[in-house]
Amino acid sequence: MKVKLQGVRYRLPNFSLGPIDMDVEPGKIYVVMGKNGSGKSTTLKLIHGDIRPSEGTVLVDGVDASKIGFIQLAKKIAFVWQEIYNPLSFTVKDVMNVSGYSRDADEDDIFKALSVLGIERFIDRDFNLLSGGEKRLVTIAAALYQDSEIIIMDEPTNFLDIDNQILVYNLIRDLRNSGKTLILTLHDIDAIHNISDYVLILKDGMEVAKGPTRETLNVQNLRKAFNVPFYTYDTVNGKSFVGAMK
Amino acid sequence: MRYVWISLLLIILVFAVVFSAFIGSVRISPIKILEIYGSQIPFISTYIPHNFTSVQYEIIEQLREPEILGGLVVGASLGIGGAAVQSIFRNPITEPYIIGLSSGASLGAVMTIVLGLSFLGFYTMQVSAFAFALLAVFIVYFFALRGGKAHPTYLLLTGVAMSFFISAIVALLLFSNINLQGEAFFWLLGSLEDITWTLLYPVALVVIITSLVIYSLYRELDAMQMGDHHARSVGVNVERTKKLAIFMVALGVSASVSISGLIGFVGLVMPHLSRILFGGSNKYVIPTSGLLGAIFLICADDIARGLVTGVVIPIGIITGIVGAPFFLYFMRKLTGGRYEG
Ligand SMILES: Nc1ncnc2c1ncn2[C@@H]1O[C@H](COP(=O)(O)OP(=O)(O)O)[C@@H](O)[C@H]1O
Ligand SMILES: [Mg+2]
Repeated sequence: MKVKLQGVRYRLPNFSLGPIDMDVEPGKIYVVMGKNGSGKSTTLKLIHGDIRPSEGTVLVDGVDASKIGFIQLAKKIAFVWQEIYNPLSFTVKDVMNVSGYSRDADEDDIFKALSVLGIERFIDRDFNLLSGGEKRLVTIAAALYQDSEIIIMDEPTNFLDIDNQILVYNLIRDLRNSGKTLILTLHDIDAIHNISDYVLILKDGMEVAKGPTRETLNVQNLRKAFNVPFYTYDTVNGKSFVGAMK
Repeated sequence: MRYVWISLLLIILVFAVVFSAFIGSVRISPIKILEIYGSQIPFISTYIPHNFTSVQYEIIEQLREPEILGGLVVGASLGIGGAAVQSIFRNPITEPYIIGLSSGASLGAVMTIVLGLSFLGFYTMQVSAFAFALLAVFIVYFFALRGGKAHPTYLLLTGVAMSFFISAIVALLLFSNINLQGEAFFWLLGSLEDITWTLLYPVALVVIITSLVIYSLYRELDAMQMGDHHARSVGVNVERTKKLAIFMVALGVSASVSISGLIGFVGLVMPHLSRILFGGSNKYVIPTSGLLGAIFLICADDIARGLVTGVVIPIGIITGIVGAPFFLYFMRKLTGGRYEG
């Protein structure tokens, strides 16, 4: 399953994105990165067909994303949203059931998806009373339960403690290794370096660099998108990384 | 366990329907009332003794039965409409009236009273209330549309603004016709007294159909509680669901409001009660809000008829005075932080 963005632009009164060209190949991890407000979430929404481009096309398996039926699209793409709304009164299981809309309900799969995130004990808890990080884990589990070919995650490690960040990064890798495609936004440069196959770097809605992570995630490109100083460092096992002074 | 409670509610509802006929200004013994019921059931009627007078039969069959069943239908439609609307708006303090329905219905009803319209005979007022309620909802919906989408917040704000506007017109009509305020006053406070079989049949049919359609949307409405974006990404056609659900609520509740007048509180509160008792999924919230609404309204009507002999207190007063404290108590006792966060 492939996604192709061709000359995609999206215009808002005070913001304009693109043109963006991107080829999403199956079984890879893509990261869209850039400053707050650079257009990352907007790019993800365009890929998902949640908003339509002002110009250009988004093709999902060669078909215009906006022409695919809702259920069909949900079978292809799951979305872990950056903002999590409070339902009126749902248990974690109710939230999981919502993500089963496009597939056959399966209690075992709900339990399995929660177990992957280590939160099966939350199943009957009140979703609104979970902490921000716990809610985040539930929405990731829900996306797993949706069982789509592509999973988009907008800042999936927000609010997570370091253990859970690593858990999610490992999960993302495992998902890729099991053949899923992942499109993410992340802020942690080390993590991007370690897990992603391709990066797209945005600044003020414009592509400043894109390509395989190894070649693209370097000091020059990061300087184009961010203002802080960057440096390169070597690790014990001989790999070199870029990082920012903190 | 859930199903045990739901069955219990069903049994309570049946009891409420049967025993509410005992209440009224004319005393008829319970045995006779049961006989009158029996005599209306085909096949069974031949085995039932007929120890009642035809006047007693008339009182039960023509006055009390349509009123009680009217309470059932109106209460159920308000409860179910409330559950749907709260899910669409992702907002616990909304109710069906908020989308312009109640003010539209008031305008329709008050206009016929003030202008003395009677183009449709006896039922001019009901038909006009129904039509104006629907019209108001349509106007609200189309006003709130932006780029083909009706965002919940816009919809809500448009509904509130439109309700203020229409209510002001209603007030103006009443202000300029002081001598007709009394008549309109009773309609505005709500009453099940004037419900007849002729009114009840079509309304019941509409409420049954719209309720079934709303129930069939329970998964979509559940998804929309997680936000429109989220719902879309799990495969829900959000705008279609919203349009259909709002239209069904408008149809069902406009129909019931047209025969009952404005009865507040039920649409707001029953869905909460049902969430407290049965959990938040609309699979249970929609049907049990209907059940609770029906039971509540039938009982409120019993109080309205039975509290002061010879006087029927407008039911809207009872639902507020009896219902609100009960709900406040219940909410403090049971929610356990459900609406926090
Ligand atoms: N619907 C909208 N209306 C107006 N401005 C918007 C809208 N959506 C996003 N924006 C603006 O577009 C810019 C990019 O937003 P976004 O893609 O969410 O950024 P981020 O890279 O932080 O995810 C921001 O400045 C945001 O304020
Ligand atoms: Mg963002």
